[in-house]
Amino acid sequence: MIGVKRKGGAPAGEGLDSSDAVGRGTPAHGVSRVSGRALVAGCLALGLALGLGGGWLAWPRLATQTFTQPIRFSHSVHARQEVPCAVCHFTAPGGAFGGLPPVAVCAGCHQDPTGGRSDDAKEADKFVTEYVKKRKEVPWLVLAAQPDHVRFPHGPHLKAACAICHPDMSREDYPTLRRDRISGYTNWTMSMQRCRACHQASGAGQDCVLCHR
Amino acid sequence: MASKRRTFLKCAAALAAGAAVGSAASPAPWDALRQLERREHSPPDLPHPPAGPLEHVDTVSAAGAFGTGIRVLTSNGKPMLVRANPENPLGRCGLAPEDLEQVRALARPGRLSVPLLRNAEGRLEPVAWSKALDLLAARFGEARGEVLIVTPARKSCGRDVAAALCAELGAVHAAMPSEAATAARAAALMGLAGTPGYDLDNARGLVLLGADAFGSMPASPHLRRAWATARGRGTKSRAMYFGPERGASAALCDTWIPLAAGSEATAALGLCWHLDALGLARCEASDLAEFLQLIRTRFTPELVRSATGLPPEALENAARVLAEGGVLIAGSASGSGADDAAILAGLAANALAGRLNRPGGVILVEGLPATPGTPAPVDDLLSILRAVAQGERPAPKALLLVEADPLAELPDGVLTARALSRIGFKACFADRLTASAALCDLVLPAAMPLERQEDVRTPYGLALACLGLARPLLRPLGDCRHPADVLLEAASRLGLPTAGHTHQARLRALSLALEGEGGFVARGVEPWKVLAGEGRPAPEADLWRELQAGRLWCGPRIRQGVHTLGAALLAGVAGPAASDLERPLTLVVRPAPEQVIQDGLGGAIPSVRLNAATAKSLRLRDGVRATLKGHSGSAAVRVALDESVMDGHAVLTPAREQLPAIRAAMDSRPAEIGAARRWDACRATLEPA
Amino acid sequence: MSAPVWGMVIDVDACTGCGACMAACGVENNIAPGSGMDWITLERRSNGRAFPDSDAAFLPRPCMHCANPPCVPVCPTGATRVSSLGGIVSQTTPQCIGCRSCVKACPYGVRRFNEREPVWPKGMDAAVTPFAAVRPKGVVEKCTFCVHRLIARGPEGYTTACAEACPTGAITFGDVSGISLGEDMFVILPQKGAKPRVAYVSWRSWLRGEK
Repeated sequence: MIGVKRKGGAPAGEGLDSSDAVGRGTPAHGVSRVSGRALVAGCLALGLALGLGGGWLAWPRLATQTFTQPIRFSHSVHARQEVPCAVCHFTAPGGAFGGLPPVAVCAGCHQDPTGGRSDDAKEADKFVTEYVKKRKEVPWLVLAAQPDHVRFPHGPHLKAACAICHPDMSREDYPTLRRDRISGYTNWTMSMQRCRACHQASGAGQDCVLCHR
Repeated sequence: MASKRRTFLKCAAALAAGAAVGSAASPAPWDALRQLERREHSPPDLPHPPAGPLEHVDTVSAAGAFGTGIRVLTSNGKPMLVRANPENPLGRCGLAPEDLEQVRALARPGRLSVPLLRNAEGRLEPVAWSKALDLLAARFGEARGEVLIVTPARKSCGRDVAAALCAELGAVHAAMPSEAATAARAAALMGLAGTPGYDLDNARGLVLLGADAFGSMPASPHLRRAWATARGRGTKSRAMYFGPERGASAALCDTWIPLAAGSEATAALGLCWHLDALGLARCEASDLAEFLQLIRTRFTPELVRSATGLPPEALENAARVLAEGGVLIAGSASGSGADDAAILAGLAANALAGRLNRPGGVILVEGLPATPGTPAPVDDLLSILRAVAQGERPAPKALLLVEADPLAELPDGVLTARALSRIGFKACFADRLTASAALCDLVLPAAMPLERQEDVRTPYGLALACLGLARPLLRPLGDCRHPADVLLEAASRLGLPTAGHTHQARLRALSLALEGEGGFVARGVEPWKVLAGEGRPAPEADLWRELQAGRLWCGPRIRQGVHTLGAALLAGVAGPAASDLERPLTLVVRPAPEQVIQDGLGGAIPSVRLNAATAKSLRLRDGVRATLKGHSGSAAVRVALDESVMDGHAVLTPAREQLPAIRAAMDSRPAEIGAARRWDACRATLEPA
Repeated sequence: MSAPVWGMVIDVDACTGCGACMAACGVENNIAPGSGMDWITLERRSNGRAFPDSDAAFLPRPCMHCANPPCVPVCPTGATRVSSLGGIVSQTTPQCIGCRSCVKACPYGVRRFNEREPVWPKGMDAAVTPFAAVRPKGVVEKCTFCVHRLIARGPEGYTTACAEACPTGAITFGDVSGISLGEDMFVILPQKGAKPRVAYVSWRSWLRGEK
């Protein structure tokens, strides 16, 4: 580093950097020049490879963080028992969407541990002991989280199928959630292009204020 | 050596260049830029709305003096936003700022969340509830009859708990003074039971004599909307405001007639003269002849004009407005500290015009049944504190302030502070460290509205006996508790029988007692129309359930009573005090509406508003700093010229933190009738600082 | 029936200056407490004469949602525009670059620039509503006529938080397409040509600018 800094300027401390002072002006040996070129080219290639590799392979892994739900909740298990979606996900007054059910809703059925041996039963028991019994809310992760300046009212969109925007929980019981470390956007965050395409196709309004407030 | 170094540098540069080109050809830098831009648009550290199911919960607001029905939007059961509840007719869906901001107020900075005890070094430090309760019980047990408990002016079951505790200890229970108590006293002087209420929903005219009916009066949110609706109907309703300032009350009236603060009684009796002269007196009181004799001799237009400066035409118009289906409201422009005589004279004027206990007039609202064995509090706290300060009365050994802040609410601030300093042990319930709490030895954190159960009764000024129930929507912050629950626990440690009935049980008992009173639940009906004679809904079978659902219970019919006009007492009205050259200013002090966080626009020192002519006579200019001086204390203020204030008056609307300083410069004086003291028109002087 | 044009008629003679409109707006639209960024403010005007000829009135001042808004053409990014929702002038904060041209252009001074990051005391974020984002530092914001209510519930019964909370009913919100000025109804600064959609009513001639 010191050498790099000094390169343009006058040498300040002779004693500190004597080898540098001696070396200046003496022509380099031919052999080392040739091998030096190869070395530089190699370095360039290596850098290129590193950059490409880093950008294409490492970046997506480093920039995002993968999360799993605190409880491995299975939508399909509940769907098979014919629990309608609206039992847990309900629309609030004014058309805003409730989103995630409070633990009291779950506790309606899951009051006591079952003591079952299967993985699902063990997970359900873990939920009962850790949250229902302790009256603690489950910090569920929101997959299709939108940034704060996007206000998505569910009310007007209820005609559309949920899976158009949300992961299709009947096919993909435990969808992965990757959240960007910088912006907090997730892999399920809806892009504005998709919103616009749908709004255009269905003749809904195009005003910014419909979504951005 | 040199070539090695150079080669190394070249290699490093090549590596960096390669990496740069390579990554540039990948999405990484562009993605990073995009994500940074996104982050800037919604920074992660800004608060997000809570993600949980949104629901509406109906209840009653216990914030502020008025119990409006509110519909609280909750997220995951936690209150988020307060709106009006259209199913509760009280307030006709109008809300006051403190109702709207009560969710934010729960997280107000400086809120107390743990009990605090003064340590040996004189600093308040956190202490456990059990220790605090032990101390409270021990001190109360020692002092017994020498305990003074001060409760808020508003009646409630919580106040009844304090009253019962006092009765069993043999202690003194004092309520903070209020205009409601003054008005009830004035009505009692006429032989009437109850507190006057003003039926603006049905009135066709309005005469305000000083009273701040659309500003600081507890029922003002309802009165405002009721009167604005009456105006909007295009009826010929007329409103006249007589008072020292063109403030909120004058804004909603058609005319403002300047009337010096403190001369309301004279003006009301002067108006009676016109009623009599116009042949509009419709009254059968036993002392009518005596009353007429009084006004004909001492309150003729000439005498009233010389005493108050009021033009006779104004009073004559007001007399017509009152007689033609109107209502007269007399009171203090400050919203507190009125003289009994002013309100008595106002009631007499209404009675003379035949507007007493009539729809659209003054209606005597009877209080709700109190828990048996709870004597009424003494209402003259000010005299007690003055006597203690001046050594005329032994200082109580222990004082408990139940959500009362005498230093901010009472005049004679210097004397109040002195009285407090003479009391051995002081405890208080407060949600923040108020001026009085800061002097206490034990400060107990009180739960706030939305965190506690509270019965909200008829606000002063409303012509309907009513009751709403505020219920807790969330657990109190930290270690905050309902004062009534704490007092009951203290009572149980002292082995007092009061402890047998919980606060909840008292509320239920009240609800049960009301079921037999013949009231109704205002659901789909407008209770003021019922008051005017429309069909009465049947009483509700399960009142408790209705109250829990945020509905409003309305009281029984208007009860007629025999009354006098208080002529014998009004004969003692001496008229407004002669001008005082030493203290030429008359003060009107109204606390400013509270903000959750002060926006700082008010400035550090309070503004005093006076008109240019008054300022000139005091040699003051706009914006200068000045000292407001009363008899015993003074306060730093800033002069703000305002032509909406009449000559010789100064209006202050200090923020809560500024109030104690202003109160020190305010002097009370004996009332013209009765033993209570008044401070509706304090005299002061203003000198350049 | 033609499409509604949203606007307000404010009865100045009924305003007591109680501040319920400001409080209602603040809690509904997540205006940070004590920030002074209120979307609706109360302006006290007096006739400038000495007592006893003095007169004063309060004017609630929301965004006027002008028919010819001077703020719209000056915006370099198109962040502010006249929406198709009944003429409501919208502000898209993520598009705003904070140049403040609109603040300068607005003759009514109702636009607010976020000089700093809004401060929310600890625990007060429970009162953050889902109706509007908490605006970050560096953007301009303004009254939206509580457009989230229109979007969520439709034009039937659509009103703003301030109009709903006003204890005297001084603020009336609704379709103003059929309303014409004159008599006691006036707009402020008509000479700017912005054609505001918030009109005021008062019997006070001095308030209307007549001498």
